[in-house]
Amino acid sequence: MNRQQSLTVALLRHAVLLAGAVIMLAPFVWMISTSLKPPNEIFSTDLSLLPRKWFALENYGKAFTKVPLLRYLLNGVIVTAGIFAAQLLVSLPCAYAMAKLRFRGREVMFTLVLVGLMIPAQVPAIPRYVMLYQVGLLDSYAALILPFVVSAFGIFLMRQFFRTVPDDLVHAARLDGCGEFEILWRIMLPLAFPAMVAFAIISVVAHWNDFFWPLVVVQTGDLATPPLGTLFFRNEEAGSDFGPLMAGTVVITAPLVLLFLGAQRRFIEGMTLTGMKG
Amino acid sequence: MGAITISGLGKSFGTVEVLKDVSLDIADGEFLTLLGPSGCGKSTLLRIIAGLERQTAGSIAIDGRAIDGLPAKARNIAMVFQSYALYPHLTAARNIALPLTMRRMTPWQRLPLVGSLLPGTRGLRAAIGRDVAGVAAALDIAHLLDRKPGQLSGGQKQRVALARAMVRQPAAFLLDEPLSNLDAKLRVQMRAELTDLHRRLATTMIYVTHDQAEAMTMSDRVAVLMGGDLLQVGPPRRIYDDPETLQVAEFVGSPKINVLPGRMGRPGLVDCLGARLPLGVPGGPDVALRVAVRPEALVLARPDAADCLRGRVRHIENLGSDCMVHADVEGAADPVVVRLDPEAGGRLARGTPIALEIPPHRALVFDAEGKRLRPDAATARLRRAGA
Ligand SMILES: Nc1ncnc2c1ncn2[C@@H]1O[C@H](COP(=O)(O)OP(=O)(O)O)[C@@H](O)[C@H]1O
Ligand SMILES: [Mg+2]
Repeated sequence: MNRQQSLTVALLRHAVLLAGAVIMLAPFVWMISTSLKPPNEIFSTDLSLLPRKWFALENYGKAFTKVPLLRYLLNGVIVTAGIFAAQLLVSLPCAYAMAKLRFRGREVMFTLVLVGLMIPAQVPAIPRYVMLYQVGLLDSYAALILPFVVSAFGIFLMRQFFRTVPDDLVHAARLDGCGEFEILWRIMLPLAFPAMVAFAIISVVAHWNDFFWPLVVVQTGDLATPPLGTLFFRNEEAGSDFGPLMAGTVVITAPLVLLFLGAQRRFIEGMTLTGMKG
Repeated sequence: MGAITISGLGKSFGTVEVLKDVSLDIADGEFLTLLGPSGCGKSTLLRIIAGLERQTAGSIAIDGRAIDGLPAKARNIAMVFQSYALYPHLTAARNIALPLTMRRMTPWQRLPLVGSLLPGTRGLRAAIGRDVAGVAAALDIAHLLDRKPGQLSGGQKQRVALARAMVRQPAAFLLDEPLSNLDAKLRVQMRAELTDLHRRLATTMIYVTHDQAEAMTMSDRVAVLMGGDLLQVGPPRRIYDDPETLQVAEFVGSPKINVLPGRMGRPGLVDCLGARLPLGVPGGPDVALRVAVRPEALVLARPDAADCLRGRVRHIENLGSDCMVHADVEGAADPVVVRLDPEAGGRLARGTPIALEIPPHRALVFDAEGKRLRPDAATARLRRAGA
């Protein structure tokens, strides 16, 4: 009786999870499936995941030749890597100071970080645009990178992690002759590696997928990031050629999925933030 | 080399005064123990000496040179932390090497990859390696050098932390409750090893503990710190036998010293629960006093003897080597504890009436505020009053 009951519960649970997974994955599966089909099959009424006639080469070929897809990918890499590197450079020292140093105004600063965390990117978009216009940086990599250099989230995440590092460790390092920079570099950074990986994934995913800001500041196609690139794609193809479009989106999404799969363990470690004990 | 002078040191966190006007002279090569209950400011005092925290008043000097403005790394003082504070991502060898790496190598030489291409780096690294091996051998941890702290037991971590402090040959060691995380047996063993180490190094050590057994067994001198006040400084024996205040008398010694209510009787006599003690302490008639007697100082008297404390046995603890007898004494709030040899203790049972004699020279008399009253002070004051 009891065992039967628990079996039913387990089955139910798995059924719910399975349904969730199907709902989440279906669009992706459909995207991949569409990217493999010829145009006449895409709009046919009978549902089929696998194409009757394989059209992958044509679709992917077209995706890479009609628009500079590789260029978009490269732009994506430059922008996301640039943003993340700059974010680390700013948020690590900042988070360390807020976690481990005592100075006046520290609490106020942290409150400001929390406030910054709650402001959506769209709110300061217009002033940022005007500022970039005034310094003549619109339509450049700088326009894509600079607004994100200071990440309230990065500072917050790293500060929370640094706080779990015992004070005695910092004290010991000071007595051993380390300056603040060396404490950060030699002690805090290696310990905070899981948190950094989590931050990396969140930052890279957000800026790789960002559509809004590149749309605002980029005019020339040469600087388009991957999501903006798909827009150009649609404009050029008059929005009807879904096979190559889907092929393009598969290529754009793939790096993120691979990145996540590669760093999954670290990511979960970082997000649960168990920190250090003793 | 490592004489430390602390004068008028004070520390407040906001409105909370953690250290109050602490003054202390520590001789070069001395083993001084800071003894006090948890939260009395011991760690704060050590951190100030080390330069990790700024005092709000007073000054510290090493060998006569004030070090108040110096950052921690310029003070040439090493510290062993209660939590060991080993760097978890580095092997024991690299933990021990870090103080030398930071001191002997330039920032360029310390850089990964680039550093090893610079002239002199290889030689320096080799020398550091030899020094690390040297201390590791002295502390018997040579076989642990490749392990990370997570793979070490408490006692082994302790030794690695000691090695890291020793390797740069500092002017003084600060040890903050280094044994409190070890199990009882290892603690006793490490006590002896630390004393031995101090003898070999002959370097000043300031040792913090709340464990009076450690303080009594290891130190040249003990400084008792309570509530931020330095109550008494002296050799362990004197702290135990000749405490300045009731607080010190009660904190030092296990089982705790017996404190009995007393009263000035006829001039020169102290009445204490039926016992009359010719102590000659100062004070007018009928002034309330407190008489403190160590458990081993009380003497079991014949039941019919005069001038004795009287009571009944409440509880007997036979420890094998000696026997602690707890007795309810008429007029005393807490049971009085007497240490007897097991043979004498064995003749008693629960409920047996007993009489206890206080040998006058073993009784410590304190005034109502807990300040020690001494006979000689009394005569001095009487003489002054008479003049
Ligand atoms: N950074 C700090 N801020 C505020 N209070 C502190 C700080 N450090 C220590 N204290 C307080 O100072 C007192 C003494 O602490 P500590 O020196 O650690 O005591 P001990 O080492 O003797 O147990 C404690 O009451 C503690 O709460
Ligand atoms: Mg402490």
